[in-house]
Amino acid sequence: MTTRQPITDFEQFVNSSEENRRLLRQEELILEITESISAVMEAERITQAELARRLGKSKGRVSQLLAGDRNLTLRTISDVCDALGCRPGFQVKYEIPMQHNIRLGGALGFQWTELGTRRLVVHEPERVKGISSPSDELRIAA
Amino acid sequence: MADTVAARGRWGTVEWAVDARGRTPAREFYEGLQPDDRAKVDALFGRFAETGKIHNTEKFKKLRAVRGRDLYEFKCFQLRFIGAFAPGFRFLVAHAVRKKKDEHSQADLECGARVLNEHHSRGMP
Repeated sequence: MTTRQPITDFEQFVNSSEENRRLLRQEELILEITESISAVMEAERITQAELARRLGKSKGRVSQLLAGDRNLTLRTISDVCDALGCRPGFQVKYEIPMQHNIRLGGALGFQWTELGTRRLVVHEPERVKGISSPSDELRIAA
Repeated sequence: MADTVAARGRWGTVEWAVDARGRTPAREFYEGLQPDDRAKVDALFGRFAETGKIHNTEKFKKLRAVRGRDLYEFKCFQLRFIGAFAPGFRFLVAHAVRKKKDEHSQADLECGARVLNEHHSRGMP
């Protein structure tokens, strides 16, 4: 018999309301982007001052962008990536119940990632013929 | 221990340190936040619990050592959460404060180190 782990504050917040879940997902996306940029800067040993120079902005502005301020637009992200010699990408992950996910994974070669104990995140695979949406995936698997 | 885990992930856990009176001061601060601020903190803790690191120094950085402890802080604009790594893939959050300046006062760092010492003095890992 397995012991159920106590609920965390993170889980409590994400399950507390739709509005709170949306707020959290927004922040997770901002963090995903600023972390990706920071990881490249770290790997390439590019300082904030150097990035500011390449962008023609102040170091303070770069600091604000990496803090995830409200002006972190898609265009700004693209400019920052270009200054780092990279191209940004975007990935939408479906959240579907675990049992469907496992069947889909087995049947169609999907990758999946465990997210906590209640959800799995499915990474969109290479385009499979006839599949264009999560509902299509479920129909084909059934 | 139901009340002391802030976030759990593939790397480990972010937990609230417990002081000599059995309170979790950083968690009390966190519980007083508005939902939009709480979402920022949860996103940060959740990612840290997943990966065990935050590359962005605007969000996480090492502070100076106090009372022999290497202290670190999570930053969400003016919100700062001070803590330290603990054995077993855990990070203990001991003290939290809302501040405008980038530098911490010695009092904030001392407070964080004191709560961490009290946490361990209680025989907690």
